[in-house]
Amino acid sequence: MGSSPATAAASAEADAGPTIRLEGVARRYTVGEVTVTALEDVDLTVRPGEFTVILGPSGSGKTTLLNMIGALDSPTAGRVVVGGRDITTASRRELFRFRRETVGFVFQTFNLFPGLTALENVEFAVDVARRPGGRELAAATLDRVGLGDRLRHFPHELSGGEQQRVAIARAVATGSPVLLADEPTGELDFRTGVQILDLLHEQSHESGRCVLVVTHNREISRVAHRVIELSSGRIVADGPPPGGKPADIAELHW
Amino acid sequence: MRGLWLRWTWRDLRGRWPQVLATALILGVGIGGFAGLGGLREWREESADRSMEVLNAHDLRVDLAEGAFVPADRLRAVAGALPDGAIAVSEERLVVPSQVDATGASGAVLVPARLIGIPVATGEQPVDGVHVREGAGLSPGGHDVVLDWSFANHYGLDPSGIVRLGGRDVRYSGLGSSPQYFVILDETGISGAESGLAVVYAPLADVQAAAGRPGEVNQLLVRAAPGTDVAALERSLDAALRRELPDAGATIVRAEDEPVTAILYRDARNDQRTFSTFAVLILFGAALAAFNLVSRVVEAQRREIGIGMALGVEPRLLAVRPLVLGAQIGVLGALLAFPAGIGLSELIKSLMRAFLPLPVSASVFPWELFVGAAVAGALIPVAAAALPVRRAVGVQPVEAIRTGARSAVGGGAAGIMRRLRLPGRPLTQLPLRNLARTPRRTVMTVIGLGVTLTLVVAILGMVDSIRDVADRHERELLHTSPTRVEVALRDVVAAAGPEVAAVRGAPGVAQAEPALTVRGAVAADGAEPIAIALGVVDARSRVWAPTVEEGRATGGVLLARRAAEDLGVGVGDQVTLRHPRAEDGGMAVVDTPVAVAGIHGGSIRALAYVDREQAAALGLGGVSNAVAVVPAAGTSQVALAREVASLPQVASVQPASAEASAIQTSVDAFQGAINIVGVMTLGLALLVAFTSTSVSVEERRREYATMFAFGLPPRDGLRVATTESVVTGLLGTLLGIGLGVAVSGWVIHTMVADSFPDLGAEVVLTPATIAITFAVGVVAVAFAPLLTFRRLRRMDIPSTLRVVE
Repeated sequence: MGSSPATAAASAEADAGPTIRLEGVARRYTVGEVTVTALEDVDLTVRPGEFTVILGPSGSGKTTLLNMIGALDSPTAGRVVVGGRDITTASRRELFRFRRETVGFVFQTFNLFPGLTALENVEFAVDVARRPGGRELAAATLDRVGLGDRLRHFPHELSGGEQQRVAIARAVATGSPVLLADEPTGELDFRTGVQILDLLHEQSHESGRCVLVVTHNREISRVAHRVIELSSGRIVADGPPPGGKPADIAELHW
Repeated sequence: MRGLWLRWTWRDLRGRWPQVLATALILGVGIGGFAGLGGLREWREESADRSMEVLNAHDLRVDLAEGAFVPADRLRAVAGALPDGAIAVSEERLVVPSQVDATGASGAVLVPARLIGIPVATGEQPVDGVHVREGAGLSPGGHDVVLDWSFANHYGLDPSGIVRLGGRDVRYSGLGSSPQYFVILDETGISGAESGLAVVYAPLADVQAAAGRPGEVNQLLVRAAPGTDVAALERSLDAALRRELPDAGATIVRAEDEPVTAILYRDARNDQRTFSTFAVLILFGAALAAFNLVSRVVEAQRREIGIGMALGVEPRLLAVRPLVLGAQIGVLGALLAFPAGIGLSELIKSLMRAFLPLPVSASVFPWELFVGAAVAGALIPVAAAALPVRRAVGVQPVEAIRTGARSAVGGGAAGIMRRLRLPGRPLTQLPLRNLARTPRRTVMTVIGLGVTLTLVVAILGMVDSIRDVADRHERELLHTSPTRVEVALRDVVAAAGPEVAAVRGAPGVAQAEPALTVRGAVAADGAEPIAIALGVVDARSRVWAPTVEEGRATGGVLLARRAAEDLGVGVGDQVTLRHPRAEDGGMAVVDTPVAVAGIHGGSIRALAYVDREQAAALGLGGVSNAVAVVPAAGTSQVALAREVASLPQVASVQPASAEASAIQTSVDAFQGAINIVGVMTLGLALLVAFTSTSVSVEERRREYATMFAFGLPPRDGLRVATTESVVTGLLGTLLGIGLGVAVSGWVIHTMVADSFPDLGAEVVLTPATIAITFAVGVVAVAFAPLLTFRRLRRMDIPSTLRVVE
């Protein structure tokens, strides 16, 4: 009974995964004589265990926002704090460690290594994250995503949906507490997309991971705990999904 | 993890093996060319040293004045009387001019000869032995002679046979050479003169009999005892000769001052400078090309590097794959360098052995040079791989991963191209826009190609320039009477005397003019004196007179342009002529101030002329030691030569064009070596072009796939690639020609001028050279994309468009 509420909260947070906090984040690009503002004055907090969908049309800044959180890019202004760590001022070494240990990224274009098999792609990420049981863990993770019989296939021998599953397996196998997915269903048909969405959803439920999914597909936002809407680089809406609570994935249709 | 990296790098190698092999080959040729060309001097000097040693080359050579002879053993006695046993061994010889007629199936061969009488009684060769390359040598009691190997090789003579020597049939048993005649020089000191001078080695007694000098000699060759101060020995011997034989006019030449020695070692040194220049260019061109290619291949992995960064892989681990690729190319290139370099070196050595008849070819392998070059060269692709990795990890991961629309960076000079209104449709403009979009890559490719073509132009330009000297010299010699023959007399005689009259009256002679050529020198204030052959000519001669480019032929001396430039004088300036003059029954060498009357059109620096009036003022009037003869209509040069050669006072007869052929022979011999380097460079240029094109196609395969997806026929895609290659090749060719002329000029004005100061070479590029350069740099490069056409045509469009995976 000696711990304060703040300490207890921090301890709970540490156990459940990090909180993601963006404070006044902006990102501007200069292209020739033109300055493009991808993000402007974004303040945001995402708690562990949340399945958050970031919604917006093309060019609204959603991918840029994800890149900020995943330390793939750095803001022009503001701070990004993940699990109490300000990654905006982190050194390069600290950023590499952050990406290894804290963040798992699922890219829209999969970004698998073409020279490695499905198993090796996942094994690579597990080894990089220094998790024990590399090959076995990779195989088990791929089996969980339904690719147990495709371990030795190279990416070009897999369908788009299978490649995306490999990408998810790669992100999940690292055990990172934050999972970032950029348009994970963008290249896929409805049925495959739903399967992918289910896998991601599972991560926030079962593992208490903080899952952020970027999409332009408003239908997907229905299964989220929280929907953040971006327009022209600014948050224009932030709240529960339509209907007030997450819908079942089986109800989705696009 | 290690196993994964090993498998991955092995798959990288398998997937790119043609590019890896081609790039390694480029590097190997560059390193091998550098090392192979870099070690030639050591081989030549070692071969020359050991050849001299094997043949007991002399340390001192004593020659009596022209026309002076002494009884046999007299010279040895003088030398033997020197105190302290400084002389290990000495040998007397008789050296006289003659003429060889070796006309046969190979054609008319009628040239002056130098008959060397050598004692053969003991069968030993204590000094300046004759190395018999083919056939048999001189033997005790035998009367066969040995012909100079270079002379026989030039005319394709058999190893043994019959020649007419001084009007008599003589049998020769073999072909050989001795240290003093390893290189045959003409009167102006230019090598390659074996076409115009036949050295003949014969038993001393036979030469004495043929020359009408029984029991007499006129040359002494001396080998000093080990540890002897040769300079001191020379002084002692000189003093002894002046004291004992004051009327003999003896002169002593040290081995190191022998023109042949100078040429052998100086040529080795200067040729090495030329070869080293080419070696550096080859290595630079190959290294630049390899660097560029490896950088581009690794740059193509940039996206994967970005993915790795996004996954949190440390940069040092990200560098593993590219560095392994670089190391593979480096190691393979270093290994390929050995056969490339050894092959090149051996080819050049075999050519040099063909025109340098040294008995010993040293087994010298420049290990240090090879290993050093291989190690340094192997690091180049590693460095080339490291740079793009450094660039990739230096940006945010999102930049490195960028693909699709976001990767369409305008870049480079694309912005400029946007403002330029190029003619034609976008497809027509695409090649230029592609090149402008990636200026660094374009510039590196142009430079890589340009440097290799620089070498091609420099090599061919050098040969063109030297050939131009020979051509100009020949034109000068033959401009009025191409069928003219030059008759050399045994002595200096009266120009109006019976000897010249006899030549004039010989059957088949249409015109005959007495001529005089003496050795001398010309000097001017502040300039190094220039040794010359001073010719006395009739400025109004109908047989032959030098062309005058500037000034006039009378009232002074006519100099070659190079001589005037080197002396820093012009028409009207004063120079000092050093020349012989008859005085009190003998010849004296005097200095006479003379004005420069004009500049003649000949290319040989050592040739100078005075007209008859000026000659009289110099004390050279009214005498002649040669006759210029024009054959009558219907009389061949050979028939005329045979008629005139039988006259008693005639020493030799040869066509006027023989002088120019000496330069031609030198060029022919050297050109073989240069051609090998040229072929290798051409191969290198083509290899660079092919590999660069292959990498370009690989880099742009998504663009090609998009074009094909829109229905563009593969041949149009090929046209885009070909146009890019043509533009790159054109720029590289222009760069190569510009730099090549500069390098060629530097070689001509430094190394060639140093080795052959009398050649008066200027930088010349023939149309053929320009055509070859364009053929390689533009035409062949334009065809390079054809080699990737099959891959383009069979491209799996959907797979390629699916962003790498």
